[in-house]
Amino acid sequence: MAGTRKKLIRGDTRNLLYGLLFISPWIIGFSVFLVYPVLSNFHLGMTQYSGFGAPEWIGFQNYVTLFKDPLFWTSLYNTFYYVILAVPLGVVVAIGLAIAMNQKVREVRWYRVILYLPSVAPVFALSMMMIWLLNPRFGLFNYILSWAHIPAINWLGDPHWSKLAIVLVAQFGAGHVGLIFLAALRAIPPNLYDAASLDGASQWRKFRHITLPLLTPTILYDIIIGLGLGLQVFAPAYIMTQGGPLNSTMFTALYIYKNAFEYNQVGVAAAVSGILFIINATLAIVIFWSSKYWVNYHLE
Amino acid sequence: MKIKSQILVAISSLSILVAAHGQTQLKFWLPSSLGAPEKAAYQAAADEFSKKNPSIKANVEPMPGSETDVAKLMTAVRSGAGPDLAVIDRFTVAQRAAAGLLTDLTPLIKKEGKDLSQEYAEQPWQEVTYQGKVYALPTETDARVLFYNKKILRDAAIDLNEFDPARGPISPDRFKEIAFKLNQTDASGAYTRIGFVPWLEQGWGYTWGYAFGGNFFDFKNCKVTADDPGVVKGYQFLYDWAKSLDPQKTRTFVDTYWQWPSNGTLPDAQMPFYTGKVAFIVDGNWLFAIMKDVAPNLEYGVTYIPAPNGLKTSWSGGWSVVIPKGSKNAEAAYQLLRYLTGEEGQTLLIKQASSLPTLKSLQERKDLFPPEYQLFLDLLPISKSRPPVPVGALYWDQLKTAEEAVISNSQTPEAALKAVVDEVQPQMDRFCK
Repeated sequence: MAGTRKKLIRGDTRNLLYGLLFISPWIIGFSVFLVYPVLSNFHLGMTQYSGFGAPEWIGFQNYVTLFKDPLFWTSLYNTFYYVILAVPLGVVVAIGLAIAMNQKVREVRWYRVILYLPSVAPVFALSMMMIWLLNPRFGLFNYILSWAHIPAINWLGDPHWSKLAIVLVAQFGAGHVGLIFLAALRAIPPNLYDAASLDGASQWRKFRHITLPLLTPTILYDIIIGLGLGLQVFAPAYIMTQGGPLNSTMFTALYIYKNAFEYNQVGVAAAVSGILFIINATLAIVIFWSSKYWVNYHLE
Repeated sequence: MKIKSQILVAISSLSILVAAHGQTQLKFWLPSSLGAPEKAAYQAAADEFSKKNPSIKANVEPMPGSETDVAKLMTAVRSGAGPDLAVIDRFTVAQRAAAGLLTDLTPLIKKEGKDLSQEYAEQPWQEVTYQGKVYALPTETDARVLFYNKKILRDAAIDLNEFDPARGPISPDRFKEIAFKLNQTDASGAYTRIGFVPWLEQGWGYTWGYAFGGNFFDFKNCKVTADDPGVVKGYQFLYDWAKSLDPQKTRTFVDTYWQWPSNGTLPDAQMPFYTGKVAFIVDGNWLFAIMKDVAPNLEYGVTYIPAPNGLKTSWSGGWSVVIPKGSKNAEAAYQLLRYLTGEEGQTLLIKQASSLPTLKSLQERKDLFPPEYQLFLDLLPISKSRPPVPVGALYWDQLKTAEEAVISNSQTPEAALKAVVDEVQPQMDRFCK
């Protein structure tokens, strides 16, 4: 209750100091590598800066220019398009992988290796490989689609499909999160399933009412992490499309990169990074807030 | 065991230090987007220099990036780990100089006491100077022409004489008539060969803008003139060509056979001109060296880029050597820079990479060039360049975006090019005085 909080006695103060001392590496790391760069970034966003020499203060000029730049809006649209598709799809694929890795068969270890293997590929190698797999005439993807008589798609060359192609590429990395889901799956007490089986519950009902609710903390984690990574999607577009065709894969992170390193506009790049940071933080807070309505932390 | 290996490492690094004692080590960065023959030529020149100057050792290292993307260089220089020398695309020198990335070479040149502006051809010299100061020296130059596959033309009973440079550039209309005869499709209607796709390889917006008499920058008024009537005509040519071919089908064809990561280079041997997937290509003199390697039996010819009214056009780019800020051995670096951009360095580039020299003295040396270079040498005096402005990289990217909009027929040339002006001019205004 307010006002009744005990004052710290001397022993407590000493403990607090020791405690702070013990976590000081983290505090220092957090301040130097996170807090300072974020603040410094907001400062740079208010300057005209080529990356060399002294930044020149110009106030909100960068933001004014940005809001007038159609390419900036295109990049935000592309990024949201990607996040809205890739994050939920990532959750579904990762849960699917986890369930597949959790089957009670003797060879399950082999399945785990096979299903996890694509996630080991570095994004550069994966992207190079995808260029071949997505070839409009000779690619494996279109070959498989042709079995269903689906006409060939120019994945990376058609602005309607290019973002989707990059969403697809991202799914090859689902193994990492899949492993976390696997751990969560194995933490579910088996007696819950046994009890449900005694009551005659079907596989689907067991999944829907036992597995899924108990996976929600992991889903929350995946969405938050996926949101951060998704908003910063860069490498596949940088390697495979350079933002094209017709700027359809010009994601915000690529726009930042081009401004900073190709056009020598570090100030503008910093301003966009600041905007992206605020968007990310806001969305993360909203999702956290919403989590009390759908995440189960306890067996009840 | 562990201690033993540590001692070994210590001894070996010590011995390296001893060996290098008294020798100046130069870090020399080559961009990864240079062609293989060019890389080899720079390497050979650096080795030759080290041999002649035992007190200096030039260490060639690759620099990931492209013509406009120098992220690696910028971050390295910023953190104090930059190279002593780097090769960068000449048309970006003004921009990198304005950004403060490059060492001003003027005092070093003055110290040498030579008037270098008289030794280099005018156009490359303009590209390496910014606001009256010299920030780079040019190595090689180039020019763009139309390459044609003689066998494909002969098989289609096309008179090769039409492409004789002595007759001047072929008109775009007549050229279209010929090129479209060479298109082939499979049963599904997909292209398996296209006579000519004007926007591939060196068929940039600059190529066609210049071919149709356009002008990209008004230096007097400091204005970006992407919407100049000539440039619009050039883009209209691309628009119409794409429309006649069908934009969607052409894009599929291109993405099938030009399968390359946008930031790297296609394996040379797969270039569709060598494999006969296209009969014509706009490209540069460096192709000579590459074809010698990967397509030695290809029968090809070169002629002017098609243009209306017999207008002979081309544009030149090329690389240059810079000393980034923060080099601790600027004096030694300058020596190597002068070697690379001097007669010896440039001769190696001519011989190994079929480059064209920027030194006037070498341009006149007829004995250096095989006969197929003649067209290029003839073009050099009239060849144009990209405007050397501090927003060169942005302008390039925007012209490319406009080109994509036009060849997919999703925007008219007027609208696409106006968007370029709207995007680039505000950035340019900062530098206009």
